[in-house]
Amino acid sequence: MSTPTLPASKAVRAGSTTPARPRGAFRANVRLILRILAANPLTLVGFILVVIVSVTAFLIVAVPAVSTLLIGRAVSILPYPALDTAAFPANQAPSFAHLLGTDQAGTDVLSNVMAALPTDLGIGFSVAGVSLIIGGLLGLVAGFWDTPGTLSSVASIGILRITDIFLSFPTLVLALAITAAWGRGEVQSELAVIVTWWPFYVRLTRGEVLSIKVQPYVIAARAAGVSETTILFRHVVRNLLEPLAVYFSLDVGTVIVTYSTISYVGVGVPPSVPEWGNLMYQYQDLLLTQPWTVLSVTAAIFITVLAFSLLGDGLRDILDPRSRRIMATTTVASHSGEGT
Amino acid sequence: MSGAPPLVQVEDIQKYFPLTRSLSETIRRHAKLAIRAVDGVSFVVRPGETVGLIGESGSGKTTLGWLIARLHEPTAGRILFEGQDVAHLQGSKLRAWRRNVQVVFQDPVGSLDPRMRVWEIVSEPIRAQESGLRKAELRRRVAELLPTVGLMPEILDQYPHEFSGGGRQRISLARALSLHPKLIVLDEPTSALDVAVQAQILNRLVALQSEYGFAYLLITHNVSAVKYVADRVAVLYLGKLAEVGTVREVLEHPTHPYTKALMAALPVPDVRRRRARYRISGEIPTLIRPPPGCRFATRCPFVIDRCRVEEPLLRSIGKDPTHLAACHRAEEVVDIAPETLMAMEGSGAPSPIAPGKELVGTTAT
Repeated sequence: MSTPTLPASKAVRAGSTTPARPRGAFRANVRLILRILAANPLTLVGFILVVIVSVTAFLIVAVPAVSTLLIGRAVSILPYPALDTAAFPANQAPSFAHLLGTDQAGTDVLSNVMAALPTDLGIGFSVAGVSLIIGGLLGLVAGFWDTPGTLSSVASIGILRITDIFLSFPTLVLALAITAAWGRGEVQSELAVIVTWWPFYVRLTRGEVLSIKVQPYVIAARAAGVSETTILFRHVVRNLLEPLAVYFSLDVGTVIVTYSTISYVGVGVPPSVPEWGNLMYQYQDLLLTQPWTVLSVTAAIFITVLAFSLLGDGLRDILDPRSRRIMATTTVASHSGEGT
Repeated sequence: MSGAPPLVQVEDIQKYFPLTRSLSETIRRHAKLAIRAVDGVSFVVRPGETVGLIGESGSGKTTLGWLIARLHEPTAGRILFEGQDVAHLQGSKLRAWRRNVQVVFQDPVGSLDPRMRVWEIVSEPIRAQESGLRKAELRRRVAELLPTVGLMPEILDQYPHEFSGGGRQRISLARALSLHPKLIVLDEPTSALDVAVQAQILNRLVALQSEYGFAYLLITHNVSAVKYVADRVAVLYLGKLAEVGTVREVLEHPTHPYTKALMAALPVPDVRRRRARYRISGEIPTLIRPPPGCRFATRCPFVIDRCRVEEPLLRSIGKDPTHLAACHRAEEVVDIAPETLMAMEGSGAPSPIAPGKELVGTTAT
């Protein structure tokens, strides 16, 4: 750097016309996501499985309801009514009439397993969802307003200590206690899981907020005169969504496994409701004599949990603009305008 | 230039970061300790001039810059901005005042939100200060702004990760320019960039200043950059000013031993001298319990007993009345060239000061 060469900064070339946002940006995004999915076969498998599982669950619930409304008669996509005791000869091996055979009570195993799908999926989403909302909001408060010596920091410490108390509850024991107090039912048992579930979201959210709020771009926004509320939504929440979405997707599977365990022990949904944990309990003695019964239920849980786990792993790549570049370098033309 | 009324006048400003005491320390009534990052600094920035702020890592230069941009609230002292004390502005008044002073940060990766597009990033100060602007209007203004920092308007919808370090720093610069501030605090704007890009950015800064006339506070440990860009320079050591004056006076005729050491640390093509520079003499005092007397006394080759007891005040040295230094022995030291210091070390005399290694590493512009 010897002689200062002052570039004529009046050389503002053609700066008056604003380049419009490229048309079809939405379609380009969809194409980009498809490309990322194609580059990650496991994510693609997870994505397809989640779509299949979700659509099936939706149809199982929606088709009878809609048909009742339209033609006054419930049409089900299940092969046979679920848990319809003694409808068929008991303990039949899989056949074309009963693809997964029948159980000791003479009901169609496939119908039972399918009928349980909406229940379990609904439990997975609602427990994880309610935990996400409660824990996410509390974590946001505890993380963003924790300047020592202020009133809000007292609230923040309070939230964290209460979270610690709830973290120490064993899910199963709490579910037993709640069932003992309020009786056995879907709402009660879901509540038992939620009570032990939300603290993890507080911890996760708070940690993310603590790291985001000291990022230079947050300080830069403050230096620009952006208000704290705007910073909270524009920078903090926006950067929170990706880790939370990833964790949520993985969590739906975990909730299903945990809830099945609770039902298996006998404190979940009542025995009359088709649910995978319930079915496991009913079929557990058949493992050596009629393995198709208990294995079908296991496979259903396995596939559902796997689907959400695979999707969760790939979700990070789809949601983060930085990794999109790595996945689809060819689509991004880089003209950063180097050189003065 | 010295006749113009100051844009920013900092008076005896302090910033202490309190350390939390453990429970046992609180019970035993240990004194409340604090890191004295900036401890009584006064200087002025005049409209349209560039003031360089140099010093080692930990000297408090970034804290001082952040104080002036009011990203910190000072523990004591006044910050007069065009005559108004902004040291304790709060809330909406502070936010409205921020249009006057913008900051370009050191980290070109972290200072841009990875999830925002270029136009959103650059228009953020505009959106904060002027409400009710439409998206198309914001995009138009950003598109007009980008060429002034050497970027194409076509990049409006790109994300920061699609740019190199220099490109990102230009985006940062465009954001700082968007409100036409009166002062831009440049917090080590080039230290994360490679040498060629550093020169581009510095040239751009000089050109922008001559066009728009804002003042710069250039915080850096790159002495060459200060020499090239700045009008005046302030040398900071452990939260206090060691020397202030015009670039020519301070960097070519340093009077404070610390400034002399900084100058000696500039790379010289001589193998033997090079080795000498890496010697660190004495302990670097902590900012928690700074030594009484002169803060540089623990490392100064010219130290006398008085230095360890009595704190030297900034006083005018030499012919130029604006050239100030805080050293009891400035007049005696002034004629000793840095080269002599090196010779003294070789002869077994008290080892001369060698600043941290990073000083050597980053002066390669």
